[in-house]
Amino acid sequence: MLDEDEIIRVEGVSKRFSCRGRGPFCPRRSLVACNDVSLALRKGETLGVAGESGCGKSTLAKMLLSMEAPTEGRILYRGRDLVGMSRGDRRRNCKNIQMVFQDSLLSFHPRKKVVDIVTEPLMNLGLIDKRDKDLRALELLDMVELPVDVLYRYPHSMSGGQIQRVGIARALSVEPEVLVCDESTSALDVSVQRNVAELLVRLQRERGTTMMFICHDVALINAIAHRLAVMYLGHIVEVTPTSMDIDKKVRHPYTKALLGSIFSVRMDFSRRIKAIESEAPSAADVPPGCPFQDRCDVVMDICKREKPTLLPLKGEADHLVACHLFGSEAAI
Amino acid sequence: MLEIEDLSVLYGRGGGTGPPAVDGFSLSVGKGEIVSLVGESGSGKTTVIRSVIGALPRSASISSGRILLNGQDVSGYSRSQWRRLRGTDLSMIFQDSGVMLNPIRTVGAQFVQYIRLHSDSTGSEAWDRAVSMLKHMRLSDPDNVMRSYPFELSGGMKQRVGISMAMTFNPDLLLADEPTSALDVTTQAQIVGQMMEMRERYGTTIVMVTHNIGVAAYMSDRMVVMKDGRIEEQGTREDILCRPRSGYTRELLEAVPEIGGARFA
Repeated sequence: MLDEDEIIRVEGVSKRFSCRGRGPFCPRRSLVACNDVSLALRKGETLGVAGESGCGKSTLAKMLLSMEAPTEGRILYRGRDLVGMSRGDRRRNCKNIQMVFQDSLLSFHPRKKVVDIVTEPLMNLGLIDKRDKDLRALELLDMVELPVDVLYRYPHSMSGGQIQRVGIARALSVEPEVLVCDESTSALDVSVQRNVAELLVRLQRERGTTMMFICHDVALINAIAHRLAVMYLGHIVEVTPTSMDIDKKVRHPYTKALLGSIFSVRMDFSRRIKAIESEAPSAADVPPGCPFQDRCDVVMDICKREKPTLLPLKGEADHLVACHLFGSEAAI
Repeated sequence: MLEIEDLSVLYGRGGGTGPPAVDGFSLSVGKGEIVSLVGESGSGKTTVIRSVIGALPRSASISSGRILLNGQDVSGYSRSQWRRLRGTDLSMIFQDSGVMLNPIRTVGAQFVQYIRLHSDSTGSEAWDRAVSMLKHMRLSDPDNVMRSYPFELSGGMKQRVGISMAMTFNPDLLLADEPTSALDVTTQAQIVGQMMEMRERYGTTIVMVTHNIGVAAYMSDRMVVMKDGRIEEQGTREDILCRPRSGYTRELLEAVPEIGGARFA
């Protein structure tokens, strides 16, 4: 099972949070943020993770960063289990996996200047000397295409795009092998978003970084990622390579609905937008069987009884779908 | 229906010192039209529609221009004049209707109060009217929604409550400030569909602000592209999308990620 190219391997990871019931005397309920998630990140690839709010994308990211411990399952970085690591090991492992947040400003110390922010991980891990800080910071700013004069500025005086660039510089300062971007471009205007996305792709290519790009915009993921994983209520429902005609290749009814809900400037406006009418149930009461059964328009009896497993389609080893329509014998 | 003539808005005390947030903005919207203002943050699009409903922040002032609503100049209206107009003649949907609702009162209490404020009806009449509005927005179990507190509802449900309230008195003009930006894509598609239905059913004029150019393109008859407080380009949807004249519009359209569009990976 050990694949040289595999940097991260997520094996059957579940994360349950315990939460209060609806009334004062109701028993505690458990909310399953991630349910039996298995994924692999290969060297130098970008895996895009898409899904709606509450589907567990961010929980997955936090578990990769060891910010949350999974309830079940293993997360392997180059064969070493991150779960149950000692504090010291976990701290040293920070160097390997880094994260860029949706709103980097909130992750910066408000009284620190850019120079201190981007070199903070290096200083914390004792990788550079205090004297080299300015020089290293300049290199990092150059890398993310920021002008020299932001070095001694405070982040709150900068624009959203610049702040995200500082966040990227900080994450890449320790030259991590894996970069996790959790909605890193979502708060930006489209033109800025495009520039930041291009920057991420360029840096990733130059450095061979492995990237997990979490985003609710499937079109953006398709533009910058090699593979797309779709999550729904804590489950991975489809993993597929990205392509120009991804909208015709996806098979899971939810992925189809997700792609069908995208408003594009090049769409046919006479076509009525197809929307799934109902809303997703809360992650605290996921129905038994297929998580998507309530909103699926091709639901069958078996969907209410059995949970479908994520299986490769016949003839497409890279394309995995968790749906009874494509059960092993029925695979087309 | 709505005429905006050469509108300029300044921020800051005593007329302000910086450049105007909106500079020489003119727009004319006909009955039943859907017009969207698109542009990036800080381009002044929200300031424009806030001026139309008289809800500019205190630090802002209209320095020149007129806003005509059905031929009436409303730019100098007093608070009580505005109160008579809002809700019935024009209303607004916000980006996050959850913030507009009082967190410690039920949706029903607020909806009923809103209806009774603007019309002469009893509590139970108002309640029934509110329920029927929620039903129109295809909220399942509207009675339960009425008895819920805002935090008990999902983002999509709150947005539907916001739209129901805005549509109660069948206003001539509906202003929408990023009505779907805080929502998930599948919910966004539902809300867009329902706003289009509202227009078909009541012939409501809609002026919408959004940074989602795809949504703007799908809904609008005409589009206005704004940049730095000025109109960069305006025209019919087809003009803007297929034959953009301004370089900025072209850039903006190209930056929108598309399935089947440019890929960098």
